[in-house]
Amino acid sequence: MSAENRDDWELLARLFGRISSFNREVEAACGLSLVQIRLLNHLIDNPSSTAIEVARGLELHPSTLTPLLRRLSARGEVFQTVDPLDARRKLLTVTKEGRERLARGLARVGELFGTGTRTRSALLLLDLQLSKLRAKFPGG
Amino acid sequence: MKDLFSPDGLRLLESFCYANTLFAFDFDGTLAPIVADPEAAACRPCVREALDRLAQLAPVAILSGRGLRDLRPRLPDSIRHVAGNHGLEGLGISARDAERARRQARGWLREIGEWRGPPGLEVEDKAYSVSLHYRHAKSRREAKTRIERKVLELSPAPRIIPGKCVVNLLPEGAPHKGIALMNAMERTRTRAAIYVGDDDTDEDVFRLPAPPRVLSIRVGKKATSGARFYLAKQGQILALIREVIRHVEARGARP
Repeated sequence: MSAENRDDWELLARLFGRISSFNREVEAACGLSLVQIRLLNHLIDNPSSTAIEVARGLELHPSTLTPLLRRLSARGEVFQTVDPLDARRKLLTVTKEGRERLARGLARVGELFGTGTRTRSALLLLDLQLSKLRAKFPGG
Repeated sequence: MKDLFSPDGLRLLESFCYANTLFAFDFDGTLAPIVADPEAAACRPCVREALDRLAQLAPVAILSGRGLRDLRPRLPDSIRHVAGNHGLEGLGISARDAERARRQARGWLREIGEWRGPPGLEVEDKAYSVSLHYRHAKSRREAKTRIERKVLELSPAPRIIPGKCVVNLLPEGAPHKGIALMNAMERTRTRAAIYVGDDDTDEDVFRLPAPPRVLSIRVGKKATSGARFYLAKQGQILALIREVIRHVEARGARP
């Protein structure tokens, strides 16, 4: 491994650590993690989705999604009901409590961190770069 | 099928109201009660008023079997998205599809005109489709049987959609209410829809594959329907629209 490569991996690992700790800060500040915020937003835009549709839409592995949904359901923020046309399917929707928690959370995150055009551009670039890297792996 | 006014139904309805949703309705039997004289069909003033209010807050579409010219005056002016002729007229249907439908309907009218149909039969020329009404026939059952036999002889064979005391003839493979709803969603840039209908022609919407995300509601419970929810009777449409308005107002207008 070249010295340059080593620096790249070092940087990636540092980024991963920073994102994890940022996520913990967000969760402590507003009671919702970044993934939970994304999931609630997705369900508000796509009411009565099934878990499979959500996993596909958010590119999440079902094993990641299941505990997330369990936690939000237990807190009464996501509601699951059986599809009247197919008892094997469960339809997911965000409850009033979920919408309120999300609105409070987003407002708090906005107050604490704020985001400007520059921050958004930098995050978009990072997302693009990481997607490119991921595509180099089998199944990426 | 579940009652829309059950706790689960109301929760789903609420969640749709907070999404970027199109609110779409059939007219006869849904917004307006079925009456003996189709000419006299109208929304109750309170329903019309509620519909008008909703159209000022959110995108609303009406998909009806009536011709557009007949339908328009029966609706509040605030409703901008209207499809007639079971989805064949309005909402971006191509000129080619419309002309093909018009030609076929004219041909069927000629054939039916030469036929001695059952007494009480009323033939409605809807330009793009034909409706054969038998509400005023002495024996409705007999009239229906004779109409069904006759339409099997028509060429080219129409798509036959039975309704309440009516047999509708539409061009096979032509756009239908399901396609009209998708066109309306595209026009209004909505990602979800609530659709309420009562007729067999509304099954084209109820049976749309997901996505698009449609909360399907039938007026009247019917085991074979593709709708997820039902309203027990047409009179509940007012309660439904008012419930939607309540949530949309809480969410903030998104016209």
